[in-house]
Amino acid sequence: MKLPVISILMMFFFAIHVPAQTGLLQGKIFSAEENSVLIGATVVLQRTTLGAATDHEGRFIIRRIPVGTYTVVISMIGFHKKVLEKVEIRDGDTTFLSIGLIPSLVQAEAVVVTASKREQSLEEVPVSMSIVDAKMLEQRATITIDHALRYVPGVNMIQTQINIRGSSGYSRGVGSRVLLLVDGMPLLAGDTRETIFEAIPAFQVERIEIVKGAGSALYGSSALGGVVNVLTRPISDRTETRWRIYGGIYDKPAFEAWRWSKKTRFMTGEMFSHTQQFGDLGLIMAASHMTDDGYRENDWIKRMIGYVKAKYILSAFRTLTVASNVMYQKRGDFVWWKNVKDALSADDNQRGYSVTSVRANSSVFFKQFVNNDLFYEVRGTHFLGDWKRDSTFRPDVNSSRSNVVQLETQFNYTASETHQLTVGLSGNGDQVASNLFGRHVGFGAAAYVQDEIILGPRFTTTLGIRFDLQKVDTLPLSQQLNPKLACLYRLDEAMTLRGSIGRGFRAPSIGEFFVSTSASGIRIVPNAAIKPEQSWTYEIGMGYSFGPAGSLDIALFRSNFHDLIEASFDTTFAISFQNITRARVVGGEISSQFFFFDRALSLGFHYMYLDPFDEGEKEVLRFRSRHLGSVNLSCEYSFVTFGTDFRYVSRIERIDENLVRLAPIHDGEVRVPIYLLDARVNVNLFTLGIPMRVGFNVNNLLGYNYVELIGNVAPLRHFVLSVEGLF
Amino acid sequence: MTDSRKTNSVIVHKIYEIDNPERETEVCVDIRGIVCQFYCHMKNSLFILLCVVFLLGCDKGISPNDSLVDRKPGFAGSVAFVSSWPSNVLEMRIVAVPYYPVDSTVSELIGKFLNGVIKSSDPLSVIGDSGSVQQYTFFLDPGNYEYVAIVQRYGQNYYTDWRVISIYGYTAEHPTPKQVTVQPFQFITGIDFTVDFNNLPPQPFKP
Repeated sequence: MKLPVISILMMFFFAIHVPAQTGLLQGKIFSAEENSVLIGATVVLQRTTLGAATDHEGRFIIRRIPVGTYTVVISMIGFHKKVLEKVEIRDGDTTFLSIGLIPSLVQAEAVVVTASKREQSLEEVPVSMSIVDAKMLEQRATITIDHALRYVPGVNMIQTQINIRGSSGYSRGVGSRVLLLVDGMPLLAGDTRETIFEAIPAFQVERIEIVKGAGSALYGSSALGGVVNVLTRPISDRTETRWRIYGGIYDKPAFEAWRWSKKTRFMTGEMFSHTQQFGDLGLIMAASHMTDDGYRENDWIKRMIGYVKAKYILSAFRTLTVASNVMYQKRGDFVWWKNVKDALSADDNQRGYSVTSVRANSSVFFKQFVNNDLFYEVRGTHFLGDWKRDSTFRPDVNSSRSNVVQLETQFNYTASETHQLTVGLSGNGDQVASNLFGRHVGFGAAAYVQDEIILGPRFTTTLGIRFDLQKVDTLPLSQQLNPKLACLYRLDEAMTLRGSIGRGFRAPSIGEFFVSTSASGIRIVPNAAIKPEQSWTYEIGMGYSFGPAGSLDIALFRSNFHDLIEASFDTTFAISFQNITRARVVGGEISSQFFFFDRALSLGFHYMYLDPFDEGEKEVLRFRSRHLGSVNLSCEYSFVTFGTDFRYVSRIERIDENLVRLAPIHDGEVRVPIYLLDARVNVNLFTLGIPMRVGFNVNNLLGYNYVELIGNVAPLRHFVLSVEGLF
Repeated sequence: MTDSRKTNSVIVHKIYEIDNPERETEVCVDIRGIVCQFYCHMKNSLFILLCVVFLLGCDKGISPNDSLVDRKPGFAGSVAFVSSWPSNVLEMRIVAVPYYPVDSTVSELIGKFLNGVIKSSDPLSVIGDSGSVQQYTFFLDPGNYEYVAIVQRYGQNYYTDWRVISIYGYTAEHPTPKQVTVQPFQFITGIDFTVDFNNLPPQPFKP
């Protein structure tokens, strides 16, 4: 054991102390067409860990570059990537680049990392994928990222539970069928395998990548319906402090009968982050605090988040990144309404409950470029989840503490000009102690390999397979083999065709195996016999670029689900989690974005049709909507941007009748289609030389009352004013 | 065009023009046509969209008037006990079955209950004796219920230990159940039962 530790220490020592001849690369990036500076363009020295992004003056600087000749890649969304070969770095010298990027005819030149676990252009991705970038998060005054995901085509949220293309309904927070990643590492609760969006510091998010369809061939369990990868901001090479404050109020309820409180309901928040470089060490420290009175009785939230990220450049070819995030939250627990006549008041049996939680997530990433063709990354993460639900009125306490540790090593190897290999090994350990789930441990191990093969100048194909082993306590070992095949054919510069087949699975959570409690007089009992859920996803799609005028994407898909786990009555008149449902979801999705007047006006249309069918019960699947549509409009004039988002979700055809009947949820059957209009104005003072941005958002402008989840009226119309700055 | 100048310590690259201006011109002409077409479509779409948004502004979605609590369909009545109670009355409920459940096992019927086919009332009181009368209220979905009965749980096994102790409309003179039809938003009263533990009606269950 001592030898590897000593080796690693020696490696770091030499990396730090071996004197090297270095030079400096700096420059300015601008739009070749408009001659205006480009903010946020990425400059990367290929096959090294060195890179930078341009500041608000379009400038960048990369220090301590070992003497040599490099290939420099400059990229930015909406522009052609520029590759400069043979850029010479001399000892003690500064190399200056002034680069004009040409606007791209193909608008989708964003670089993504989730589809293949490596950087690639979005147009090279052979599966359906969406991106939410930092600008969208800022302009929509995003407080938790589940709010931002509501605007993504093909995604439907039921409160904080994410549903990609009909993969999930509502499972009371247990067992997400979408895998949530933060910087490529899973972030699901150890006890219930649910997504904890509020634990992610939204202010530190650079972008969110959403891969639609089964992704277990690369990511393993939970990637049954898709993968959401939240990428945090890279550490800037300049010292800067960012801050944002916001304040908002909820409008009065539309009906006198719903006015449960005479007080105005407020929400406030403050967040800041400071970035600084100390030689080769880059550091981000951030903190945020928010409170929300809530528009419903017992629906208040108080939350604090602390975040640290440090990146140490060990050499031009090696980096070590450490990140840690801790959230403390206390909130009221509004489970469902009293009835629709009193829809903002909590059910009498749910009054006085609150949930206190601590979520702490720490990660380590070590990346090394071995040579021009090979790099590897070793990463590890630990996620602590600790929550307690108790009541001021009743001696009724539920609590759970879970620890999840995950380790992964990934190699990316360019075997030849036509083969790009990705190989990885991963392992995880879970430990849970809870009065609901008992004390249990679980382990998992996996190996995966993927080959991206260029079969011709227009045709690429991706073959991948992953083998997973899962073991919980003394339960039998479970094994899964998940293959995938994806193809991309480029018809011409504007049009691409794609097709993919992939398998997904979700191993049951410790909570689903071992839950033991009672609710409303009904016993909920363990079931150690449940098996993993499985899915096969098939997709064909087409991407088309209208050049500067916009883009269009069409996809047809089908998912077959087997052994879906649902809570159901067993032969002892008690509820347990069981493999009871087979289902298929067939659908189509069309997504388009158009630009007018030199991109000053943009207009997007998205529509998805779903046919979600429960083959076991021969009925439509529960908690799915058949139609989802959205229209977004953004208009930019000088330093002012105006935007609206309209969303339509058809009425959920079928809900959990047993939940309504047995809970009971009075008026639980009441639900309507969703018509939601959000509007915003942003004043960007950066363009006037003042490093500030002011935003005013009105969410649910129409004051439309609807439910995403039965017995829960969604947020009323509310107004949020935010101010963000930089110094 | 690329301009590259090299000084003692600085290499300067300037790339500010596209490689092939002619090709760009051709593409632009084509794109302008497409843009014009789309612009016209978009203008119309935008107008329609604004109209739709305006109309939707009048719809407030869910309102207190949607409550089903006061308009729930169902029936109510009384249950009269005419003989002394056995010691094993652990639970009693009124059940409504859309069909005559002849030749069904108790397990099958419980399965139908869990699936929502058979409706069950809240539990009746299990405190009483000969001569006692209970009033009940039973909310359920509208429909025709051919078999409405009171069932008693006499053992600890929820899955098997049930028996029928009264059937609505069943008498010695008229030994068939009487159908109860509940219309939407209709609440019926006068659905009364008599329970005689010493003289139970025929059990519809298979052993």
